[in-house]
Amino acid sequence: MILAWVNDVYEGIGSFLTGMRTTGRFLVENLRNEGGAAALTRQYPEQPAEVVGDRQRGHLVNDAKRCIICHACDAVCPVDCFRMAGERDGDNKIRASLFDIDLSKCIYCGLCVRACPTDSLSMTATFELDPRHLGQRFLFRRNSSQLQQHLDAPDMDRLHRLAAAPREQLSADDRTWLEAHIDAEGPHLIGIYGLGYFTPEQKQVADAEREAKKKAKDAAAAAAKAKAASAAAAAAAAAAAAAAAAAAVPAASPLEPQRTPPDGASP
Amino acid sequence: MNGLGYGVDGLSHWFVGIGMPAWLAVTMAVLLLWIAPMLVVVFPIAALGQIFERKIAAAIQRRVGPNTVGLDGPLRFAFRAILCFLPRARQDRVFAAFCKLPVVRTILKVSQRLGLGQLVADGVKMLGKEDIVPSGADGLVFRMAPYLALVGAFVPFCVVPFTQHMVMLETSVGALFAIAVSGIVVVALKMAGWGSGNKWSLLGGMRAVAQLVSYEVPVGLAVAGVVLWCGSMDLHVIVGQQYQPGVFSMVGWNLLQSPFLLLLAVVFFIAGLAECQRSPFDMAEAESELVSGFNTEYSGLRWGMFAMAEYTEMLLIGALFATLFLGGYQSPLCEEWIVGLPVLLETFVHLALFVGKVAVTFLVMMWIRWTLPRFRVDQVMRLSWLKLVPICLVCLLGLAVTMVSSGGTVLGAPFGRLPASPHADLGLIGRLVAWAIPVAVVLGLVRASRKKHGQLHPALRQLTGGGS
Amino acid sequence: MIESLLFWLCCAMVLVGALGAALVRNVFHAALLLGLCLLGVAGLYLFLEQPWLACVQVIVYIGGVLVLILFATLFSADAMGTEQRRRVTTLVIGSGAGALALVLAWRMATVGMQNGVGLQPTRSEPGMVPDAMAGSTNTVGDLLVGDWFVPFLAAGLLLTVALVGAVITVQRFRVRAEAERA
Repeated sequence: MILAWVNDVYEGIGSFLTGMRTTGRFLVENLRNEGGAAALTRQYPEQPAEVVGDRQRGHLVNDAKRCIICHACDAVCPVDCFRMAGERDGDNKIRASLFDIDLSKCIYCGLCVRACPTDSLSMTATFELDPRHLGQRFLFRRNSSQLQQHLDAPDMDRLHRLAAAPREQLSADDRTWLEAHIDAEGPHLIGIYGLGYFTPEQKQVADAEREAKKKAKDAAAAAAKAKAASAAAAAAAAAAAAAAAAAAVPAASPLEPQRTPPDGASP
Repeated sequence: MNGLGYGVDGLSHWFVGIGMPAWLAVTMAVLLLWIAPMLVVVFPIAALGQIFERKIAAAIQRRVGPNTVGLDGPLRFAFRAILCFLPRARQDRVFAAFCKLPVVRTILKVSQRLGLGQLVADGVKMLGKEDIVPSGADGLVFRMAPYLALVGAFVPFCVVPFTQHMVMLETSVGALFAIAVSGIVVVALKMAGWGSGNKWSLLGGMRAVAQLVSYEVPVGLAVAGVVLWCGSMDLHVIVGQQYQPGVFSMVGWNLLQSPFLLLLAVVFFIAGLAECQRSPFDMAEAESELVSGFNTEYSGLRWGMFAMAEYTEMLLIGALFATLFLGGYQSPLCEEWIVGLPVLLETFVHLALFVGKVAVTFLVMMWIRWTLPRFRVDQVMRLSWLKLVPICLVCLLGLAVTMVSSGGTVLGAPFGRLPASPHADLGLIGRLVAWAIPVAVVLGLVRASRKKHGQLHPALRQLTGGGS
Repeated sequence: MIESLLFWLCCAMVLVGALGAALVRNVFHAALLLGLCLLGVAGLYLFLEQPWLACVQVIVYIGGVLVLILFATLFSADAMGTEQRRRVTTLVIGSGAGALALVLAWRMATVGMQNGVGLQPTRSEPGMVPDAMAGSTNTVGDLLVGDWFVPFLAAGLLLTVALVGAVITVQRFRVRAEAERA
């Protein structure tokens, strides 16, 4: 019995020492950084984050030029994070005069993107929200009243131009202009600035894809309309077209406008 | 109370000697010797312990740990507070100029690499959190518990000799006092667990109580061994007994005096870990089973008090370990010369040595925490009652036999303060014999047990060089 | 000044704790108040210049007995503090025990006074260092292994017997449980 006891204690001490030796080796190695703790750890804000996949739901962005203020997103949003208003432009088309996404409410569910008939809402593959980077500083701003500030037409043009330009190409002058015209508490520029395009080529590709999708969708809607027209009244047909359009959107998978930025985080 | 240490007298005499008025000298001495240990040693180490723990945990787990928040933020805040009469831009300019100083730059850089600012950030966060008392809680009991835990953790430092002159309370029952007062923490944990009105907390409190009651026994027995050997319960005297003139003053440490004391030291360390609810004995917290055990319902500053109490108690175990077994504040080498230094210098060197020893035990505790998984309840009890207590009893017996056979007496041993250890006449040969016999017995037992029961785990076989 | 304040504080702790432990109906609170009382007694020992006794009081009664009582409250029917029923038998037994304790205390005090010890503060003894934390340990040690050696050993033996008895009792339960399992 005593021998069993001694054996027990001996083995306990032995296994304890084995474990301590292993962790002790790790401790010493990593304190001297030979074990590569620093190499294995990604220093996130300094080193760019890895984009995990193209179906990532990073930022919710709205391309204001394309938005028709149809309130489809508003209707599906489970947390009511949108605030929007429209006005008619010269061609008597509705365009956004206000489009806010309250990021403190948004749960990044992506339902609005599926609902959007014009693909103006989309979610980027990047998820950076590091306010130390210029572009992302604007992404942070919420509760827009920027479009309510009634910028002059040239200012507005410049804003759109800057928004469409890849952010690496912003000159110092442009940056100061942005800083001056965009109130830190005010404008939420997700809809206008920082669309998730990082190079002009990427933007072209995305635009082309979107055009193609839109054409396909139009064709499908037209076909559905043609079918429906023969069978039902005009009102019912319109509803069916809307439903078809809504059904077509997930099929076209608007979640994947391929915008994987190569190393977009650091300007 | 009188008799609160001759350190104050000595230091105030020294202050008077360099031309200070008497009242100022006494005040300074009291401040330096009684208040300073708390402020200089206990608080900062207990707070820094959390940061170092995170760094060490990170290193063991192949991570980097806190490396971002430096001290520049708090420093900038301090600058702004001090220079509040200047405009913001100028404040920043002054701050930038200050940061360009090479010394400051180095400090800021190092503090950032170590993540020292995390300490400030955590503190501010804790202060800012809402103090929540659950509606089902027993208000007064719930609120009192953290204070009691803090008292139980801090008060025992009164009797710990930080240096030869830095003792707040010199008493003939020092070791007993430390154990007694730190035992109050059990009641605090129980109050927290019960007062929270939460079954997980209650279970955590129960576990804490069961565990601490069991582990007070080995702790007490281990201390009893040292008390038996040194013939005093006064921690200051126990340190004094471990004094050894000559170059290798380490030889005088209790740890190396007898194999039984070495074993008792190990037992004391293990049981001490259990006393302060550290992993692998953190059954009472057991976040994977009991959410967070007794402190589940606590938030903000009250939770912070529990955290502080835990780290302070670790410090206490480290301090007691150093005092009882590692010669206290004494240097491992050439202690004789350090004693000869001027008072202030000697005090400083001794304080540094003491803090160093405590830091080493601290490090080992963290190392163990990040190595071992949590024990089960029955394993904890088994370890205490079936392993530690028998070892303690055997060691006590062995110590008594050693002392009697070396000419000392046990029951009739002169109590009180002795100028030198009663076993000082062991001599070299006597000490070798005192080591050789128990070691031989243990080795023989181990060999026999291995022969009979040895089914060695492969990892162990590798460690022990293919034994059995 | 401070000393007398502390003394009255200790007295208040003892009295409040004892009364509370007897009168409060929540078991857990009663146990905690008992702890307050025991702590006050430890403080009084310090005023009698018996630091060793005070420490032992804290270790044994607060660290041991009180904790066990707290532990046991958890296994009582109303662990979370619903109120105890007041029973006549409890009242009778309690007041009887209280009266007995009162008589005993009175007897001890008077006997001590007659013999000139007991209520005498030891600090007035000549040649003793007036140090609340210094003396007494040696004295207690000498008494325990000197004059009172036999009672000391007897107490130890009694406790050992109790311990062994407890182990045997538990062993019987365990054997039965194992038999049932088998």
